[in-house]
Amino acid sequence: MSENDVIARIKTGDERELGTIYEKYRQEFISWIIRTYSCNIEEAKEVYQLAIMIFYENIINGRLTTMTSSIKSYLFAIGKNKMLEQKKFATRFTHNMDGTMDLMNEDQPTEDVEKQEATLKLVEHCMHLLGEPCRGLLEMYYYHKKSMTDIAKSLGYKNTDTAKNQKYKCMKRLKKIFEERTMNTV
Amino acid sequence: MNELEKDIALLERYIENDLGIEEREIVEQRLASEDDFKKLLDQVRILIGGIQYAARNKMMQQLKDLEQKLPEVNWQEHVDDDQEEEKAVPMRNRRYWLMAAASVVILAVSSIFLFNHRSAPGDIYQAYFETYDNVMSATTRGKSTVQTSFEQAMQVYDQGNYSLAIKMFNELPGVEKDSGVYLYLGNSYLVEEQPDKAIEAFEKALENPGNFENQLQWYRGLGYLQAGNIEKSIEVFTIVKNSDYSKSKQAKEILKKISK
Repeated sequence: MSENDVIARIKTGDERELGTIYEKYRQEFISWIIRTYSCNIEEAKEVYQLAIMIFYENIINGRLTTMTSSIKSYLFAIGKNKMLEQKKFATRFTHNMDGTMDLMNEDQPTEDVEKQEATLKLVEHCMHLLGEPCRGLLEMYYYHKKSMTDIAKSLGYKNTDTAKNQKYKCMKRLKKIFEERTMNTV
Repeated sequence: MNELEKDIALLERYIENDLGIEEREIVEQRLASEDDFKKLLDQVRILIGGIQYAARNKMMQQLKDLEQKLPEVNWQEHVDDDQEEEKAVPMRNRRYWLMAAASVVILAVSSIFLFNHRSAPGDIYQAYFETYDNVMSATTRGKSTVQTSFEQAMQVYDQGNYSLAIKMFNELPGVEKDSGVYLYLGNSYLVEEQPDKAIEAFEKALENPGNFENQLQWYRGLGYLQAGNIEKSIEVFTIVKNSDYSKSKQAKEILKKISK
């Protein structure tokens, strides 16, 4: 199977493929990071996990459709960037409020960053309260970028319209839980 | 779809730049004139960001679980100075290392005991039990502007005041008591050596386990060990052994020890 086939399979939701990639480059990547940046093994593992996740997100967001280099070089390049950023800014990752994921802006005041992080954590907790199948449905749609057809199939809905309606109902419920908890804590 | 659901759908398309010129103009006019509509846009953005944040954390956890299942990376030969490595342990990992060190001590002591004595359920329990880490809220962030009752209970749990944590988890409104709450409640009962109540909490959560099914079964098995109920613990650890949970290997070890 070519590396472009691997990407295509990950794109269609084959999570085992990502696990295979994780195992394949793990030893080499972690040893290289430790050797090159003198970090400890836990940090090296964290960077590797981050690199795998960014690799995955770039595939599902359509930023990576075909490999111009190898998957290994791609992962190593992400790892290198992350290590350099960490050294420079002690970078942390966050999500922008417009729904996109990005690095925290180092120029952003710490208080704002903490407030933003607290809000995201609150939504995360609300997601937990929301329970299944809503939680899974929303994650499949907004994070894993699954199509409504795939979601309907995975969750056993009659058709895409049912899945779509269910998604809006789940959003409405999440909004309600979030509002209740925001009101209770203000 | 009711009006609110329709508005959410419309705003999502607005965020995704999926509206035609005419529809976009209508949305922008409404945003300029209707405060509630503007507020809804902000909320939808926050919620989408939060959903992605939650999913990303879940995925990171899955990678960490996968990592735990794999053999340790052989990296030492590439590092010249072990002392340097020791110094590089960042603050955020200290707790992990302390817990790991504590587990090694517990396991070492238990191993000596287990080699010389028949494996009693209580001893096996002691060797394997570690409270489930707080993966639900960042209670260490004192500046957080929002702290819910659940987060307060988790803070107490993190501080190791398990009897108070039990009280606080039990006082949460029924609607908030999901599988996560019962998982931490059960853990607190295990520390307080009340296995029957712990098992009851895990079994309640297993009615609707969400993403915690494996963890709940693992701790339920430990609960039965603490209670000395070998038959039930074999039944539960067999489930864990056959699952894809990171503790399946430990479950296999326990089953071996119990069956001796």
